[in-house]
Amino acid sequence: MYLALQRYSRPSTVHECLELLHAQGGRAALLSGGTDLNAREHEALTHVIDLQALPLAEVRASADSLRLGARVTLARLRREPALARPELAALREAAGAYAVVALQNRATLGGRIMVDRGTEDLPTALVALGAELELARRVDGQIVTEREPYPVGQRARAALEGALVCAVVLPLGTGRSALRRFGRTAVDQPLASVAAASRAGAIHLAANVQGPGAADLRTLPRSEALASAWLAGRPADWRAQARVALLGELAACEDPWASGDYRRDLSATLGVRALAAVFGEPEIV
Amino acid sequence: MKIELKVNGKDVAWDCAPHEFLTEALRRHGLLGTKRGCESGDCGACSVLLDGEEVPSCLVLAAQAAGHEVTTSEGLGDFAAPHPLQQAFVDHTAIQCGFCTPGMVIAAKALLDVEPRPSEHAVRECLAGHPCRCTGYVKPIQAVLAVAATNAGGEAR
Repeated sequence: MYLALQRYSRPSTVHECLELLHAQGGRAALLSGGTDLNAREHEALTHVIDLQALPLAEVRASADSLRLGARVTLARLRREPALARPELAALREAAGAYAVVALQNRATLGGRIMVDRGTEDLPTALVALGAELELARRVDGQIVTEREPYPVGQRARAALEGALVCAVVLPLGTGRSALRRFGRTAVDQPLASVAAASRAGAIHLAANVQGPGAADLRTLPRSEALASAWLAGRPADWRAQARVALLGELAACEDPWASGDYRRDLSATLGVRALAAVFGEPEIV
Repeated sequence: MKIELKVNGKDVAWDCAPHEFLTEALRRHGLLGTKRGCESGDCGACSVLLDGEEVPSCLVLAAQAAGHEVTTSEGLGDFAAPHPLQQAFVDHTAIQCGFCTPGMVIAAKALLDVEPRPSEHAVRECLAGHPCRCTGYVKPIQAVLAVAATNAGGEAR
């Protein structure tokens, strides 16, 4: 038992929720699935604000976008009919790659976004898919809701502090996506993951290359530009060219689990496979 | 604080502290089949059904369970009338020290409730969050598949 909680609240409105958070300062935390509440030793917390009574578990599809409430669980992402589209495969794969079934039943989209420390597959998929976040903040006593691009990089992520993720909005079209990741075991966090998505006539790539010195989740604009030109037709050696481009953009992040060179090479391999899946070509030749 | 929930089919009102996890609350009320293991969601020994879904009770505050339905291994069956899954674990010797077994049975129950005839791959995925240090990993899979073959596991009791 690591927690010293003295108060549990279950607000029924976003306004009430953010007022409670503001009133308690750093001693309060928003509680969604709770998968990291005990595991991350939050001894300083005295108050948790449970989000389960808020109407944040809705999935709503329109002609050109999909809105996923922040309390949609990863288990639901895996089986949700609205996600059964080739263009959202990366999201389903990221949800299925998270830990084990029992934790997928608890972990929520918003929760995983907020606790991400550069160790998650889900943000990699969301960035490649062009996700935006619907955020609610308390500004000068008023609750302001805004839609913002998914934050990439530590500085952008810091802006999420104090905000409530209400929903993730994904553009819909007719493309494909794929996430390829590798961890030491099936339930370990990935050593690296790369997501690719084709959307609006272009390829979008995101990579999560972990390790000290890693610049967190990143996009790969030069590799994207190269791969986008291949949507209409690819040279025979496109895999070799993609590999060189990816290696040029990926960081060599070393930690006790993997050397920098290994991790960068692994990421390039994952990137080529993700691109092959998006192009509808064999991943291994 | 007072919480009201349904445990193994019975409405209960329990006093609990804000920091108390569901594992502790259940065990404090005599439901010792829910084991205290890693307390970080990694071992599966504390698994219960929360509204029919397998969850690690060590990561669910007791207060979060208020208004919900919890089923523990005691709610599935007992010595006199074991659930088919519990009986299958005995019949297939898929049990040794027994510490992790209730969590495995709960996981299998959750699977068979939604997928009465799962593939071996689905059973393996279902049990992946339940490391066992005694019997290995084959016999529990065989036990679940045996129940699935009779299509009896999907019948709630």
